[in-house]
Amino acid sequence: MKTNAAPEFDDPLRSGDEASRRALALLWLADSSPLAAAPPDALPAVRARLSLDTPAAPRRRPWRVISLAGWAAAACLAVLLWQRPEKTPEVVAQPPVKEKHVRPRTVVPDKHTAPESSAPEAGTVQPLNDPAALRRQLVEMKESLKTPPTSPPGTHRPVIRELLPPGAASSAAGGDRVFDLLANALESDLTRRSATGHARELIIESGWANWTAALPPDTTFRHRSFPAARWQELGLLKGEGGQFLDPATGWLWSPDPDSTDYTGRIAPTDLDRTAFTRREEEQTVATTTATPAGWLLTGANGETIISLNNLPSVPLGSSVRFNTFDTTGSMISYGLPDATITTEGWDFSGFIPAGSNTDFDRGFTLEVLTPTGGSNVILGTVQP
Amino acid sequence: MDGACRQLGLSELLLRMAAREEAALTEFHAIMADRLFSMALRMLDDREAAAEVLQDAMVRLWNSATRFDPARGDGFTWSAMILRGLCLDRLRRRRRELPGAVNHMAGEIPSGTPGGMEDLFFRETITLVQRAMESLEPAERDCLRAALFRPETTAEHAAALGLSTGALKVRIHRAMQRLRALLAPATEL
Repeated sequence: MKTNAAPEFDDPLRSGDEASRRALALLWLADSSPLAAAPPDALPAVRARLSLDTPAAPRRRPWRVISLAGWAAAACLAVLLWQRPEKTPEVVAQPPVKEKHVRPRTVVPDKHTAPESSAPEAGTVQPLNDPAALRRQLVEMKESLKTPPTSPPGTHRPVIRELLPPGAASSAAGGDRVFDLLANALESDLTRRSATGHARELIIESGWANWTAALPPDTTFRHRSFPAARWQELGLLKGEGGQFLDPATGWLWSPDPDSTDYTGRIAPTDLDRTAFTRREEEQTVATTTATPAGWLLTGANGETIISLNNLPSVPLGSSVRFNTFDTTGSMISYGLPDATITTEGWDFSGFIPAGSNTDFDRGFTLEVLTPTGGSNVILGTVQP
Repeated sequence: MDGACRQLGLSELLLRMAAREEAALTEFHAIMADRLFSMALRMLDDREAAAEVLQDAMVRLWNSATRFDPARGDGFTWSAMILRGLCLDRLRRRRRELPGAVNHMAGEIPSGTPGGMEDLFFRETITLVQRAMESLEPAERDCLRAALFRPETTAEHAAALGLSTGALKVRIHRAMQRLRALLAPATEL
């Protein structure tokens, strides 16, 4: 197969050749899904190679590390939204975000890696343990959330849209959650960027890291909402003292004695694996009491992340879809993968690329279609 | 697929790139970088190499955008084929430099990116492709993936699969025919 356009075939041959290319391209794309985020320095490097000026487009952040489901993905884009090239970014919240006092939390470095991880990356990284820098950034973010949008009409700016269950009114709690989301994202981002040298501690706000085997062996994780209640579902082995061993990745997760977090690292070679079990009776049954929540986070470049959290299980055989509109007012529906939707409290994140002509301002619903033909809206944008 | 491409406006962006409109390059990158990077990563199984190939592809797309003819195909396919050529070059170079190295055969490495993000825009298309692939015989899938992802010649593929070159070509041809038929809703012009 050649990489350039087909030579001068007659029409049927050319059509067949193009159809084959298209089928192969589709197959390749499908085999590559879900997607990984491209390196953030790719575009500047390309422009430099082409001797083009540096673009004024928003800078992309290296967010693949936390491109997990749910809040982590949302947190990631939140950082992207907030840390715009401009000094004073503008965030439009729908509904309006209310001010909330948030105490900057101190991230406790992993005990075993603190000496190395405390060293900031020269020149580019704000040290995590610099309380002044963290406080300053949090204050700036807080102010930016309070400030009403002042961008001229037509100017691209980040937009956060809250999704609520039908009949639910937006509340201060919703605004608080947006702020918490941003604050946590900032903190995680600072933490992640400050993790350098041989040891690196990464933060997971939520979701399950089943890809840790691909990381450097000196990486450690701090998981702020470790799914301990789902250990059997996740295929973990439970040990004494609340430790969990992931046989798929070889990672050992231990409760942090100073917080509710868990820390994860490659299990030491001398670990007594016989002390870990899959026994049913040791499972701690948790009750899901969280409220469904969702966000549409649209960056200044037009890309939108959809983040759904704590959604209720749906009947077997149901399908879930997003409904929204394009710029002409025509309805668009996206099917949701159905692998996880029978689990209570499932999360999902996905994105709609820039340039897709999607107009979320016209409305957005997350709808369940049951096998019996029923339909139920779980979440939607707040209608004025 | 073509509908999706039209919505994404890739052809228009490539035409604007051909006219040396720098903003079009930025827009094209915003839309396609993750996809092209993931596809390169799938083929090369090497993040660093995939990042380099992404850059090479973007440079080549910019430099050769004047040769893009929307009447002959969509922008996504054209971009993917340029990327594929660069990936194959990289794999062949790797094979020359490390003749004993084992190539990652498509199917031997997990598809997609664990923890990656769902591409909702192409979700239905991707589901259609995956279902179409599942409907093929395993041997047909192997042949197609080998033809798409591996740098060896057809004769080498045939030897690896224990087939004659002619038999492999026939199998690939038939598999492509079936795949194209199954994907007709997604690939019709």
